[in-house]
Amino acid sequence: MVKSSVILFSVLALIIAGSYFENRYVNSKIEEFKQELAVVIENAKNEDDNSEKLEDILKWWKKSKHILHAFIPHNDIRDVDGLIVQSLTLMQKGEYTFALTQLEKLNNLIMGIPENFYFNFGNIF
Amino acid sequence: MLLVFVRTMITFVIMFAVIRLMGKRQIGEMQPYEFVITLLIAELASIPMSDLSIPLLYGIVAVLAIFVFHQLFTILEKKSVFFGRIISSKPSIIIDSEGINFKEMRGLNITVNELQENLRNAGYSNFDEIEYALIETNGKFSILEKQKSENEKQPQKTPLPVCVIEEGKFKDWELNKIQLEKSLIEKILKEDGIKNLSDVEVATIDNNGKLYYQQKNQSYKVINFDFEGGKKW
Repeated sequence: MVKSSVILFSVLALIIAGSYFENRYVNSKIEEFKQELAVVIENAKNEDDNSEKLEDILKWWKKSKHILHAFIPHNDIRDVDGLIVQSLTLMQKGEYTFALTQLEKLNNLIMGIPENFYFNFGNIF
Repeated sequence: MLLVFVRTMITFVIMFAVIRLMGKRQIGEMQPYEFVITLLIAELASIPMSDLSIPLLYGIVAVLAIFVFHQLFTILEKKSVFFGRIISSKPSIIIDSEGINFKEMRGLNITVNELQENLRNAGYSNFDEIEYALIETNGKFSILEKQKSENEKQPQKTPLPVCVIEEGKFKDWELNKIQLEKSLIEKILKEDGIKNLSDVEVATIDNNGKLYYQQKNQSYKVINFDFEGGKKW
């Protein structure tokens, strides 16, 4: 009985600690992403070439996504990959308006990722 | 992770409630919560394993959640009689010294045919051979045989009872099969004081000329009679 209880509470503690770490990790990475992306979006609005900055974001994302794969549905990660590459290509071609549309989409997508972890009725059901 | 845990918990509780409401015969050799675990765990493990778009962690957390519920239910079942009753129910006595307990049978969604089938599986053919029949919490039948006195006659041949009346209605299909007239049964029952056939919950008849019947809210009765010209089926 004692052994069972110890195992039970250990697993529960593991799940709670894991949830806490998951939330913290995903939120911090997405927050970092949002801040970097905000600069690129602002520059795109002013029709400034920001492809170097976007390339840096792409490199950063490629490194970060390895761990994020453990927490985020892989389809979302694939969508983020696609939108960064599309925005970068459009920006390199000087099509800032189209690039801006893709960047806004990307921003919207990454803002929605932490929301999927919120403990609310919609997410539970 | 916590969301997956909560979602698993909700699914588990709902499935457990449904299995309990469906009655004991839905499960075999397992407690209701163990049956739910068996149903859930295979799906939980296989979906993230085969669908590459779902992180494996979701499956692992769900399986761990199931483990937590299993441990929790096991502890509660051992520690508290009240929870034990809720989790695993209690054995149901469906045949006692008074005969068949129809109220219990209806609660468990068991028909007379199914009861007969289980008695035959256990090696008994007549209801009156049984002192007690119970359905255990895992859905299995337990049968306690009636003590026979030394003077008691052995039947001439192995009886094969057929259910001829169930819930006050003749089972024409069974009667045709054994080529028996309704009038014979009606006559026997009338002679035994039965005015209204709809009061008879169950009646079985065997090839040795034994009629077992039970009226609503009364003890069972056994009548021995002679078939004209012998009867075999």
